[in-house]
Amino acid sequence: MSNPKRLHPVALVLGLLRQLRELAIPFIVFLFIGRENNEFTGWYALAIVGLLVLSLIIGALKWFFFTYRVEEGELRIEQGVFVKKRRYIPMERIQSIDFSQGVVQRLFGLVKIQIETAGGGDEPEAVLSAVTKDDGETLRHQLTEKKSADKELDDQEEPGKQAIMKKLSRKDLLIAASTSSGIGVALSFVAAFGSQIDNFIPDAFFITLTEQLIQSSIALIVSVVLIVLFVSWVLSITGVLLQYGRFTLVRSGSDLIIERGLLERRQLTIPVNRIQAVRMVEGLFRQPFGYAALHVESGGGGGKEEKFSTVLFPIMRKKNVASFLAEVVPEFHSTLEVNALPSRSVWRYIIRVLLPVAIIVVPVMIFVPYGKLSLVLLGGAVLVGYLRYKDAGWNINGSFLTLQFRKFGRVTVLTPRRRIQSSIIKMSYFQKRKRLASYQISILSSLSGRHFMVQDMDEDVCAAIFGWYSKPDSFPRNKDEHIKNDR
Amino acid sequence: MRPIPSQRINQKALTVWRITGAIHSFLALLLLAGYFAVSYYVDLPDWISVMVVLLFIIELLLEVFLLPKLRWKRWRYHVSEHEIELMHGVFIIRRTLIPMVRVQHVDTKQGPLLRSYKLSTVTVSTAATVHEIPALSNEVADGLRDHISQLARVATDDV
Repeated sequence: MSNPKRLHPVALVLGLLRQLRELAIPFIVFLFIGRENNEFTGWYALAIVGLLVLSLIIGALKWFFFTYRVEEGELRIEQGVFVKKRRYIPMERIQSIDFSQGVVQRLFGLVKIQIETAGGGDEPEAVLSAVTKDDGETLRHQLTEKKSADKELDDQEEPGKQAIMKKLSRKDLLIAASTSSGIGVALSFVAAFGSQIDNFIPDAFFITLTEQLIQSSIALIVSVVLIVLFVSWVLSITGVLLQYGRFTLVRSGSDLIIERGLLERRQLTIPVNRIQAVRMVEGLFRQPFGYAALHVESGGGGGKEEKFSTVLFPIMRKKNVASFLAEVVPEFHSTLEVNALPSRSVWRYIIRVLLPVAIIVVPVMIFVPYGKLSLVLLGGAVLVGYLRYKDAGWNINGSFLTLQFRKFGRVTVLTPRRRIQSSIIKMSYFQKRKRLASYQISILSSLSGRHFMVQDMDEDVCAAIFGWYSKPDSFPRNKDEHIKNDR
Repeated sequence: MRPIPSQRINQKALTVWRITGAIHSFLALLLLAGYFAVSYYVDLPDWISVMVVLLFIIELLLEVFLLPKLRWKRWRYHVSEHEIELMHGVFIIRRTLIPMVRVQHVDTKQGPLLRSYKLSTVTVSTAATVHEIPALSNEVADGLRDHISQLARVATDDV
């Protein structure tokens, strides 16, 4: 189908840069040893130059022996100078194709391609560090086209059908940035930093000044905290702007193509029939304003910064989510409405949060002056527990299961029955007494497996979902008042 | 609730678990000895010693006598043409359902202890999870492994 190709020569430079970064520390140590002995003479210079030349030659050899081609429906990569390594990836196994452009790639109009299969691990199965844009596009077509030819899914699509494109507006980007949960991360950073400040100030200085300054220092501390808060907020906004700037989502045939990034452009291609689940996340700061983010779980895709799932759309009005899914991924169009849990499980939800908090707070209340203020924490725990109860739920719509639960933000998971790898009902002694049970499903994600659980559902509902998972026809329709099914 | 799975695991599992429990208790006993060695030189309050000894006795009773029995009584499995069903757990009862089409591969494994009792553990892997059926007799385990593998091969469906 295509002749073996080498990477763009810029890959050489990239490889060299990476090697230099790895060598940097030994290099510096080396330099210092040379200095100390006062013998920083020709030998050292020669050794350093030799090292550089050697790594350049190795890099060149590696580049020369690294080839890729598409043949017989497989991406075939061969590499290795002495030990030959061949990796053949069948197209049907490809979970995602990720294009990204770092600064170097951008300078030369190149892209870096990462290809992932369902295999575990956080490393992509194939990395082509520098390929011209045209070659990249050709490769993507070769890897996605043939595969879709034999899927009945695509037979419905007319060849001339226009691709659907969704762009993130500038206003929405700003909303996404200012409400991202990155604020939480920034806050905890601030807290950690704050607790370290007194380590930098000498004790004696502290003791003598404390009493005099105590009043003015409160104002000082408050203003410092506020400033640090503001700075970290700005930082987290910048982070989101850089990551999701110029975000576009394209549905083309049986593929989703996601492009994003202000400085580093990334382009991710996910075959729709590789998506395991769609996840709607209503963050703590977003839910009050009626906004939600959409993620997809697939075997490949998102890296560490996205917690190994892929952002399908960074932010949108919750009320538009259903129509958005119907338009962009009709395969995943199902209900987002859920059935609530029975009222007898509310106390279990509250106690689950309250108990660990109380174990810490109660001794504090007794032994620490002003400890009674921590009573507020107990109230907070009750509130969190109640919200978790209120927001937990489930639904079944044809071949789709919807689970909803809250940790801090509210999460709604939509997954078809055939993507659920296994189901578990968990029932403790205390749950049994109240005829409650927890339901957990496991699906494939880029890090082996991902589990979603709704706790303390009605025992009969758990059994019904279990039955549906085992035999979909057995799911009762209108028989039981617990089980609503709006098909 | 649907009927519980029909098959029990091998009764010798009880012996193996008790031996494992005894080994754990022996390690705990070493810690206990260490504690008393320290208390010989350092003055520690008596109630701590009492607590430590009590904890050890509770651990021994649970690990060697009570838990293996409860665990064995609870363990059930069932393999049908279309699915594998498991039930286990002492404090929290877990019921697991694995459709045959989701099974990626099946293995048997045994450590030295299981080997000396002619037992094996069957592990069933899906694309996202790994499940174990512990302590089956070697013949049953091998038969089950081949059986599941055959059923899984018939029922294929891509991830």
